Amino acid sequence: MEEERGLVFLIQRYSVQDGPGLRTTIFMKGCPLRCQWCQNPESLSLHPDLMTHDTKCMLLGKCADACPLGAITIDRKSRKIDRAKCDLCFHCVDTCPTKALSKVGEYMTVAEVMAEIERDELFYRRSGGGVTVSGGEPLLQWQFVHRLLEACKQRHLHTALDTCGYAQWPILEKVLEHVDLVLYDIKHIDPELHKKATGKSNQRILRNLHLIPPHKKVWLRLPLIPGFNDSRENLTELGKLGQEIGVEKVSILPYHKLAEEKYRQLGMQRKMSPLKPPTKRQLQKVQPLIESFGLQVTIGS
Amino acid sequence: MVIAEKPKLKEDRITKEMRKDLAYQSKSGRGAGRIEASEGKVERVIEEGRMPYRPEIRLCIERARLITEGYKQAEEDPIILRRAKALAHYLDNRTLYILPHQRIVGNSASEPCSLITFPEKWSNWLEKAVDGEYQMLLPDEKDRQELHEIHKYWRNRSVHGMERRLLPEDVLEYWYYNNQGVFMWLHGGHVGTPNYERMFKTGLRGVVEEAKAKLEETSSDPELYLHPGDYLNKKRFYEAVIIITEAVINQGKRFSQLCQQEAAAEKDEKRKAELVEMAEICEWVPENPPRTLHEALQSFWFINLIARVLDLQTSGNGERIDQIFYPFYKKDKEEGRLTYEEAEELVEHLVLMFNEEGALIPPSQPKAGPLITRVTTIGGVTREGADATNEMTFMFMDAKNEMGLNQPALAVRLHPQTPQALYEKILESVLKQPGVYSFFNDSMMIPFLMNLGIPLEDARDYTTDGCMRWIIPGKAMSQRALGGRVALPKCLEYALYQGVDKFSGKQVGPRTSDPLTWTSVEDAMQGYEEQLRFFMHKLFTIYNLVDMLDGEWLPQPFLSAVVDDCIEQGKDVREYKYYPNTIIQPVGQVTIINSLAAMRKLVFDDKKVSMAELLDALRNNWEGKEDLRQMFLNEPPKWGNDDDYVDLIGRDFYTRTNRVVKSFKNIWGVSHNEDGTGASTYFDYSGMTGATPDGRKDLDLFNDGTVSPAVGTDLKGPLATMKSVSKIDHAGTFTHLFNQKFTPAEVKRNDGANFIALLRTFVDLGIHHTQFNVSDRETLLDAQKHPEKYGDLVVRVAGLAAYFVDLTKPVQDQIIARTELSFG
Repeated sequence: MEEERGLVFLIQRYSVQDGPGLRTTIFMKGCPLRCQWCQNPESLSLHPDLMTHDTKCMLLGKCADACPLGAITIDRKSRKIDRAKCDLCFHCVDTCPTKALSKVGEYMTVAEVMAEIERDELFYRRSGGGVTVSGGEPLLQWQFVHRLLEACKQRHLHTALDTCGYAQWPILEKVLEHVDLVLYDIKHIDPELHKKATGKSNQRILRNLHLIPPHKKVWLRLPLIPGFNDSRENLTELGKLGQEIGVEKVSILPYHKLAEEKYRQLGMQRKMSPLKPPTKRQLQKVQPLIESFGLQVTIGS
Repeated sequence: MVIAEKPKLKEDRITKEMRKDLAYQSKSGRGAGRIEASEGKVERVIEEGRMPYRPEIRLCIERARLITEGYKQAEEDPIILRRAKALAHYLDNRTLYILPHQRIVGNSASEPCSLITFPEKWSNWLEKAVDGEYQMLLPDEKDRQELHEIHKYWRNRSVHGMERRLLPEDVLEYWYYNNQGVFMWLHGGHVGTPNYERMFKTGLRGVVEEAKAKLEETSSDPELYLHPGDYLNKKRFYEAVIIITEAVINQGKRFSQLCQQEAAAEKDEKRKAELVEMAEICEWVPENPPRTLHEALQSFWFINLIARVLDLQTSGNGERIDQIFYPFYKKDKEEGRLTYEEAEELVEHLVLMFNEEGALIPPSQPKAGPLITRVTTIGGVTREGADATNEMTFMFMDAKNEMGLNQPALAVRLHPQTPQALYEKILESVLKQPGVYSFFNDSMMIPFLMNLGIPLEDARDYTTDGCMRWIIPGKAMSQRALGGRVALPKCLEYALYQGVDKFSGKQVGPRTSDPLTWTSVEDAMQGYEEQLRFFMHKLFTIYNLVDMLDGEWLPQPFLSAVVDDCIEQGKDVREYKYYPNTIIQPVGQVTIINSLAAMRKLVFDDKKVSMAELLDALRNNWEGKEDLRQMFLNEPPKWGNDDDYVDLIGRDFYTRTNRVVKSFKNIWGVSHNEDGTGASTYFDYSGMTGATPDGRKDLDLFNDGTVSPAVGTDLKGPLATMKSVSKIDHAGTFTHLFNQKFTPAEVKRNDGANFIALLRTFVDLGIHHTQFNVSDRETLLDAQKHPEKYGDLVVRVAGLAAYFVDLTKPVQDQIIARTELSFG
């Protein structure tokens, strides 16, 4: 039987923010949540996406010629893609000499991903790094991820799973077999607010967190969105939660607007986000508050 | 891990004031070398018309005058004695001075902010230069007249250019770079490193006594003087050694007297005491073995400086500076004479002296201006293979980090047992003075040297005496610093046009195979190799001839006296070699590798483009073929991304190029070799090479260094680049130059642990060398203006990884604003 492939949208070598040391992060495609602040919109769908890179486009028109559906038009000033017509055949990507179009997402075997991972083995050993599986939400492709993590452990590599926790417990439990460190996202403590901002309640997420066996290391990750989850009350509850679970540390990931461009590149309709990045002062308040629960807190990974 | 701050030094240290003194500032007004060049600023520097030297810099004609007088006075003598006497005449009569606050003395020119010249080496060049682009160095008309007179004497005597009268016709044509565009013959200076440890044991008096004993022995051996060829040469050599070494000893005495005179006139009691102490030190060294660190530093400076003003004209140091002084520091400290801070202050005085020297030499890069780089080596393993790091390793780094002066650069030797503390100091240092540091790998160098036949213990003692050049300190090695710049991609171009220069239309190289018949990269490689062999034959004909002439006309009696075995052998260091290292500096390797990979992918493997179509596009500089050019630029795999498709072409290319070079022998019968010192010259020597299949246009720049990826093509991050670079057979080929770019935030991330892991893995991978361009906000601003140069600049902000140049301006602005916060 042919091996089932995983849909990977990025393998980032020299990854330094997803766990200790120098790592390779495998970004899996597909996510059950729709967070308003999502930084990786290319991760959301469970199929490859077409991404444009306008700064590289020289309007050579090869893509328009190659498109069997006539979804691409070029005039003197710009290239337009009719996303409604596009059926994601990616012929245009193959013909573009300047790489101004790309296909995001490749179906890969575990062996293919491992070949990439093994390239930097020496760096992991020297830095105490390893492999992180992230997303999207890696648990959507849990069978593949499980096999991938198993392959990593067979090679004695340190493994981390970066998850939003939204999955059935037996799935998470199974995947955790081969995970050394869990990077666990907590967007909000309140179920209603969580649902409003991400599309799903956090009940299952919080329940799963409590079920993680105590010998697994956990880092909580809080994407800090001013006006949404930076209230004293929410942070206090987060601190208590961290204390209760006995997490190794809490990482605060300040919201930023750098991903706006990606939405355009994917042709995704989106209103300008009203969200604002935290100011330095806001950040400085958050850290000691969580630290007061005896937790180690870092800004960033 | 915390980046340790060392205890604050006393704020009122004299060296802090002194470093602002113009006397210690870099003399050249541009050409900051690798840093400026590697950031692509050089063109701008030239466009801005900055003068090659600072306006207050003057030419000192005293050395030229005294050497010439000395030569004239000794015209009846054979060359080695004539040269020894002339050099001694110069030393005994040159002007000495002591600058305020100096605690280590030894000037090179007759006054501060001046440059000495070497007419016996390159009077023809000087004659033109002082009336040409260096005119402003010589405002005094009388001096100019005198210098012209001096140069007249040297016209047919100076070695530089002498070879042109002797070269066969068919080689002479190729002497001129403009006739062929492949290589630029460069005399360069010569470098050699005295055995300071031995000098510190015996003093120069010990050297004189050894030479006298050998002279006595030679003159009383009837068997020997029956063979005058041998006997006379030895006798003259020993006499020359004695004359020049006595003159160097006398230089110490002269400085001692000057210190005494100044002490007598000095009102300030503290300074008077310093001058009295200096007088005592100079009376004692370099004649006798130093007893304290201060004496050792002074003795070192006399021997180093005098060796250089006599005949070592360019870059090069090559001592293990933390090793040679450590025993003195340790003793002083144990006996309560000195603290770490006091020792560091003395070290800073030495650093100042490195910056005080100046000489006018032909630039090795036509457009870059004069550049003298002094490199000294720290760290590494001992001769027994143990870790050699000591307190002075840190002391030299502290001194350099605080002073911010150009010279000397520090070459840090790393090896598997390098202690964590040294890595932490390196981390602090590259953030403070990234341009000062370069890193060399014992794991590569020791097997590399042993492969050349250097014994293990000596191999462990290696140093870097220039950018990339290795030397074994204290051994009889006097090597040409440069030799020849070689624009390798021009050889590929000749292969593509069967030896015809596309610009002049002339048949310059051999008529090699027709590219239209090529079916694989192997065919292209063979064409390239044949072209290379042809041009190397010309270059090494010149090289070997000049080596003969140098040996004939420029013996080095003082260097011979202070390196091992010359006195024992009775031969000058030009003649007796511990290892005759002769090197050339090729550039543009990665341009060729990417070109070969591009042809393999698009022409030979995928057959998307025909060779005829490619040749046509190249011939016309891609005019009207932008889509084709973009295809060659973007589609084939590029060097530096850990992709075997191109990397293995690279490995093969380095090995085969090296094999061609090594197939030529020098006059001592040993293979010539390549060297990574081509460094930043890629921007000069790319100027005669036409469009290449990697998408490069006519005359555009090659890649930087000898192994660094072409600008904007390394898209997989620093680890992938290091992996690509590690695939070259470093130990089996030559010393490669590998530049890497980081932002300070990136270096600091995770308390620097990642950066240290990177350096440790560099050692594991057996890569020869690396240096870091740690750039900040300014770089990002520049990247906005010149996105084409920064394709590889990855910005990392929590949750997002993107190429900086891929982002729109507002987003870039945001990142620039956020860099200061360095999130994540």
